[in-house]
Amino acid sequence: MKEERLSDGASRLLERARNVPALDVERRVRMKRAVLANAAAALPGGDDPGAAPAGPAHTVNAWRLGLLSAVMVSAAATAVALSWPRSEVSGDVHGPSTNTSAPPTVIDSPVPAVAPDELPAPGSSAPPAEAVVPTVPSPHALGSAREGKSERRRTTTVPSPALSAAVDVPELASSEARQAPIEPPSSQPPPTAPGESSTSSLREELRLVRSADEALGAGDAKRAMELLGEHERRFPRGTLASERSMLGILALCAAGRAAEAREQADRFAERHPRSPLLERLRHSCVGGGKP
Amino acid sequence: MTTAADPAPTFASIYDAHVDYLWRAALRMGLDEAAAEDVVQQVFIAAFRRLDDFEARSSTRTWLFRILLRHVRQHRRSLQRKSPHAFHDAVDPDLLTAPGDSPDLALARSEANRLIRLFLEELSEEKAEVFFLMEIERMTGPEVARLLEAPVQTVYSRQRSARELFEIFVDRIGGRGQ
Repeated sequence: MKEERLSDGASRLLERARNVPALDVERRVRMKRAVLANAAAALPGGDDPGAAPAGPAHTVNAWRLGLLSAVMVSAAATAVALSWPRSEVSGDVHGPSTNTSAPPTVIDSPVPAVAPDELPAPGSSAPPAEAVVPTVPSPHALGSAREGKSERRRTTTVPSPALSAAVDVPELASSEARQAPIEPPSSQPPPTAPGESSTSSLREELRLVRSADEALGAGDAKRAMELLGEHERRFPRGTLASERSMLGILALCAAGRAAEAREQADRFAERHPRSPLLERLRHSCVGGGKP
Repeated sequence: MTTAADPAPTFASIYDAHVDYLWRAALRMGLDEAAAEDVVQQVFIAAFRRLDDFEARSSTRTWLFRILLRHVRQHRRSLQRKSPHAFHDAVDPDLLTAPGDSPDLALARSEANRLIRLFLEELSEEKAEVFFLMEIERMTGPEVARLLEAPVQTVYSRQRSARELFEIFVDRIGGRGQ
């Protein structure tokens, strides 16, 4: 009934416009990472992965818990990527420690660019969201207007170049993370809360990786490598595996093992061509001018 | 210390469930792939930041779709500011008249999408979403009405009006191109 009422030209134009290529897997995954890295910065709980927000509606709250656990993962990653002082890594980073006895195993981790469960089946889309989100009738126009306002207001904080240029992500995310605590995390998730186990393991991951970073900042490459080694043993495919790899490279730099560092860095860049973490590597002994 | 596999819907699962749709919709609205990538990311990030808004909504997809619609509009405006000539109105007349076997179908496709976007820009948001959902996405009136939580008559009336404008639009660009 629709099409016969349109002219040929109009129908043809519509038909052509409908025919678009599907999203390829690589782009899909790349976008997902960028989204998580950016979005996490705006959410509460970045500093305390164990906390979950209180909320009145059960279903919504469950959804948010689940969401937050996903966010925390990237929040943690983001925080890790960001909380490190840049001065530590800029220029020739050779900490006082040139200890070469640290375990080299740290660096050889076969870090998958993408966790297996992140790999989508092309073209498939499970519909989990609708199942959980409560159906609350709301006047369309009203909601639309409200949405529009906050939309315009908030999107201005996300300059689009930051999205396409992965290297901009850390700065953007970090500044927002600092100034935008949205709501205080106030209640613990129930024992059966989804993401509980991943939450605690994430916290532990975060602790190890942060400590390693702090050790690096203090010039203790050996300690950093130990911590990263522990992370690798316990979380070989952990959420922060790529952060671990990146820190491992910095640790090699700090230990004066630039050749190994470069080798690892090449591999890292191959696996994570658009990782925001590359920016940090760029300021290390593997970036720019070779030592 | 178990893995991160949990059955509850997570943001990642929301992303997985809707990214394909938003991607296609972004292309159908005339963004090229690079722009679509940026814009779809922005949509998810914006969605992420607006959970409170989201909680009163019945359909994730509609909600995301509306954010997308706005972002696409914004995207165009910002492009126009940067390079005012990025959007010219010249149209390949074949696009409206030639049979489907165009020598460069991909080009014709993206051009068609560009035109659709130009048209959507001209519409009010309400009409644009109805037009897009019904004429491009081929949803039925009742489906769109449910989705938008609007009376079905309202939906049909927006569709009718948008279709009339579309015919005028097609005449206009067809005439100019020839």
